[in-house]
Amino acid sequence: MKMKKRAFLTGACLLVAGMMFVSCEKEEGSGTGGNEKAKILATVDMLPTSQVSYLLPIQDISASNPTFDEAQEIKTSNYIVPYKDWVFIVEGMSGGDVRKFSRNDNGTLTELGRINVGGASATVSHVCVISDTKAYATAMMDNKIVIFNPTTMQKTGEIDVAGKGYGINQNDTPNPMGMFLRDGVVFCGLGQFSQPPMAVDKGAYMLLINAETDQIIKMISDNRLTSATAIGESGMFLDEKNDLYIPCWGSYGFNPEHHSGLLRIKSGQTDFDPDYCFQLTGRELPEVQGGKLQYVMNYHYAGNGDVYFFGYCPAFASTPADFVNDKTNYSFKGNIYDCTANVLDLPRSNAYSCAINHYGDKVLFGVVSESNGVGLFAYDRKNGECSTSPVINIQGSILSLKIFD
Amino acid sequence: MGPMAHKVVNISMSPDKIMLGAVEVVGIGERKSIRDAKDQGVPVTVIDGKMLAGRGTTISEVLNHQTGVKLRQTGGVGSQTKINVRGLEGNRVQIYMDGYALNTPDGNFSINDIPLQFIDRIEIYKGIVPPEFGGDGLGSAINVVTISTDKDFYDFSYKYQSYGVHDAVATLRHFFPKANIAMTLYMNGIHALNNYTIESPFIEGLKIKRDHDRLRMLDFAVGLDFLNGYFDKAEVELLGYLNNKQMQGIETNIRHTFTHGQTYGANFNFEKKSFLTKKLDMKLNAGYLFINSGLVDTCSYITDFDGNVRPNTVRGEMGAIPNLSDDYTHDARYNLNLKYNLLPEGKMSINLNNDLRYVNMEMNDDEAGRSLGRNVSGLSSDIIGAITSLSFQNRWFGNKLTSVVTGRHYYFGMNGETVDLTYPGSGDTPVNTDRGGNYFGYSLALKYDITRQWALKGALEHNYRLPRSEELIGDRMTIMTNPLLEPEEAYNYNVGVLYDYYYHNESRLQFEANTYMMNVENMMYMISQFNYYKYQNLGKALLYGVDAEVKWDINRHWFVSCNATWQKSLDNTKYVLGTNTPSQTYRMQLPHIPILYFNWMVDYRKDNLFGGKGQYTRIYYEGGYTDKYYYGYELSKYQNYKIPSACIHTLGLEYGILNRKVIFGMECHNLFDTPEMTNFNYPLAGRTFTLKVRFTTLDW
Repeated sequence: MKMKKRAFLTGACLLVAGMMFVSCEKEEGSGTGGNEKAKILATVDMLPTSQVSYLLPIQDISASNPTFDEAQEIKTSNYIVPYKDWVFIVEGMSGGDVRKFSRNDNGTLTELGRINVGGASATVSHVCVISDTKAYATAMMDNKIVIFNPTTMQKTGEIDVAGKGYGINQNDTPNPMGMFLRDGVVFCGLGQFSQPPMAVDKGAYMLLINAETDQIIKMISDNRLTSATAIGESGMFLDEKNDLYIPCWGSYGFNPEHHSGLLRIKSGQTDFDPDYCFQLTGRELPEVQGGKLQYVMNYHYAGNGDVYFFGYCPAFASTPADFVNDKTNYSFKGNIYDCTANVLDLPRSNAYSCAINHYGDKVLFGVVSESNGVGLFAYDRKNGECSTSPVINIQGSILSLKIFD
Repeated sequence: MGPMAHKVVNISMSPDKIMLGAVEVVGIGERKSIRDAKDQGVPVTVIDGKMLAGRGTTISEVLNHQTGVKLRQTGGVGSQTKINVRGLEGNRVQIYMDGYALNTPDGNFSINDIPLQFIDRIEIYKGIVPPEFGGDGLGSAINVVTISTDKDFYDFSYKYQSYGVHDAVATLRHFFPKANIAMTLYMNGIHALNNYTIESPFIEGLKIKRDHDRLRMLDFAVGLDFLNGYFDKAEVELLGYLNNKQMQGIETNIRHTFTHGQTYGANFNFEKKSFLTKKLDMKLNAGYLFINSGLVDTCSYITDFDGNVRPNTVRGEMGAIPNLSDDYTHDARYNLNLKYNLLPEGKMSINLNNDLRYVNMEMNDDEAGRSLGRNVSGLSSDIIGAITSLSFQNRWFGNKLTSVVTGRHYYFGMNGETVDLTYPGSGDTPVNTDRGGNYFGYSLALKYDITRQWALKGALEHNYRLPRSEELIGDRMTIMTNPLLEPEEAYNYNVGVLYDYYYHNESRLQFEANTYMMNVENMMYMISQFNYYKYQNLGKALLYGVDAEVKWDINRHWFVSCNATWQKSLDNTKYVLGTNTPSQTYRMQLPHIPILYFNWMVDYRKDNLFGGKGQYTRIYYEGGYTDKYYYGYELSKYQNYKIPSACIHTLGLEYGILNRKVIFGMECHNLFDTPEMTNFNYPLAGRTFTLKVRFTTLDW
């Protein structure tokens, strides 16, 4: 109905504009369409009243109230992997497809193709683009890495990781998840699930793959933290020294022995750095209600050692947990070198909305707050100020956020 | 006046036998039971079971052609079927059989398991439910009334349908006059492969032959009627129901998972007019069901649609944990209805209805427990629901105005053990959940006969849908408990107009139109996080719409009808859930609910169409059009997740011989093989043929 009204109004506007020979400008702040490619992309879940989510293009940070007119329908809990002007949508636990979109010059998106990756389990965890003609997609529950041509979206091969000894505790299934390409080597986190999201045992495990030969180089592990990378998001990042940081989600803290935080593989190395562990589960954090976090996810590195993340605080969880009304997630600013973290003065969010990225000096947090609004809140790195309301209003849970500077 | 005026003339007639070729009683009418159902102030559609006797279709398919009703199916015979009435479905629509709630706690027995030939009538209540129905619900209900006969009869039917569906029903009813007993034996067996081919909605170009969707079902009952005793009606029935259903995958290739269930029970029914006092009528129904059900999903590998096998992380092909469940349910219920007739002929009466239901559930699943790393088997829960209503019915202004005013009390109590599945939770230690609540509802229904042909109806109702056990306590595996769950609540309003005109002895024109509004609060949604699920009261909905129907008995051979429904189901939640931020979907159409649909029918019936005698022929055509509706909110220009519009045509023939003691039925559903979907991403079978043969000694 709304669409029909909108179409009618649009038609009426065009008619009037044509008669008056004046150009019709887009609605201020709508963030829809324009003369350049969308600089911000977000996946937005509308759960629980709708099982449809959206890939939402936003012109830039000035679009304070973007509409969903140009949004593309996707499944729930989908994630974005950008590569040049392509955008890959990874269906995570809700489907086995990787979908490819292009960012158009008029701010819209066009779907260019798709490939089914997780044929047996209907899950796909992540995409890592090696080149214009080669990409990896992790079929987490199929336990293989599908190699495909991202230009044609055709499968060209696969790396079977099942039954090769990479599963722990006599499991055949290491569950490949997030990936990162550094110096010709793809670092692939392993879930090692007993049942998602629980790992079968503590420890962070990764496969190292030669991106040229597609051969598995080796598996590495570290017992200090658990569950390297995450479903849908690699979360891994490089600092200015080419050191690779690997987030570990720690089975959402459901097992108290499974800790979350960051591990590191130094530049030129292929093993975890034994001297580095930024453990966040159980760490005493005086600004946090109850003093401790249950788990941490969705890290974003903004440079100069600054890392931003959400932390789940169990002190705000009802018994039993109320996923909608409990505002459990603090926004944090941390430092990867001195392993410190401070709560930012942003409203707490529920645990669904968890996307972070930065746009210039502004670090954007997807927040569903109780009384301050819903959308992207900003932390200004220049002056250290936090917005008290969304700088971009987006209704829904923002799962993934990509910025194209 | 003279004396001759008093002369008596005696005339006597001598008997004479003249054989008439045939006596034809012309004229159409309506059985009293159907007329009584329509005479209520509530909006109701009544389907005469006699029109269904030879058809090979199902109840739900019949319902699908009524105003305000839409079917939501996921597949073939035995698949999940939801009946959507005025935008509400699932537990929000109560299903009754002979006035008593049909829904079994595990959902094993469905409305489609009632054979069409034993249906006297189907009553579809839309928005407001009469007080003598004891169950809860948000105002819509379907009551299937089965036939009742006072003669011996034998009935056997066999149906074959496309895609490997075999369905046989045998019934025997015999009177033993010396013992004052009538005995009924009934058995129904279904074996259905449902092996139709669909195009995968997930992988372009992939055709999926549904080869793991088999249903095996056996349903049997023994009934004893004790005649000429204190009660006008005294029945005891023993029943059993066995089923085994494979699960068909569409997004993934499920090869081994299936469900099974067995249900046994007893049912007692007593009715007496002038019970204790002359003016009091009593109906009592009591029953007990024992249900054992299970889900078997333990496969150690998974398979894609090309047949490639992969090792399985979690075991099981569905969900995040394996299942080898062995659940037990004890369901005891009774319904007592007392009607005190203050004035004769139904002019004024008071009705007291008390409905009580107690359900005990014990869930066992060692396989799931092993996967979760905690012992969750053997925990049990009790849930009680009691609904009591008191209504006053009166006829005013020379019977022109009928009013029924009802007050209703709802009670539910729940006590059960569960484990908190999320960390830090309670580990293996069970947590006791004890919860109860009292709620009050009311309704008013009015019918005013303006003229002999025209009548007005008006009704309002405030009612509740009590939480079910699974919603409150969860399944201890992946569905979490929520002791704070409140009943769903609705305020319903309906205004309708009726026109009913008999003319030329054999023709009748009927018209009915209704408009309604429903305000639903505390709507329950299942939400998920960390692979755990939970029911929460989260939304409000505003439903409103108009429906209209015209039925025309042109003469005793031809009948035509058409109906139209336009219904809006709007999100009435002002703010984004859990916040005070105004919601962009406020007052937008709720996803996945049909909006506009039409149905039409042409029916021709004639005795001895091809000469001879004792023959009956019926040819019918039904059409239905459902406009497209969306799987999500209509927010984007590129809203492609939708249920496309579909126009489905059905053509059927019934041919009876030997005064309809033998009936042959043929039907083709979806004549033009139009792609059809009523649930997003669940394509239905397409063109389907049904052949049915029935032998019966029932009189018509």
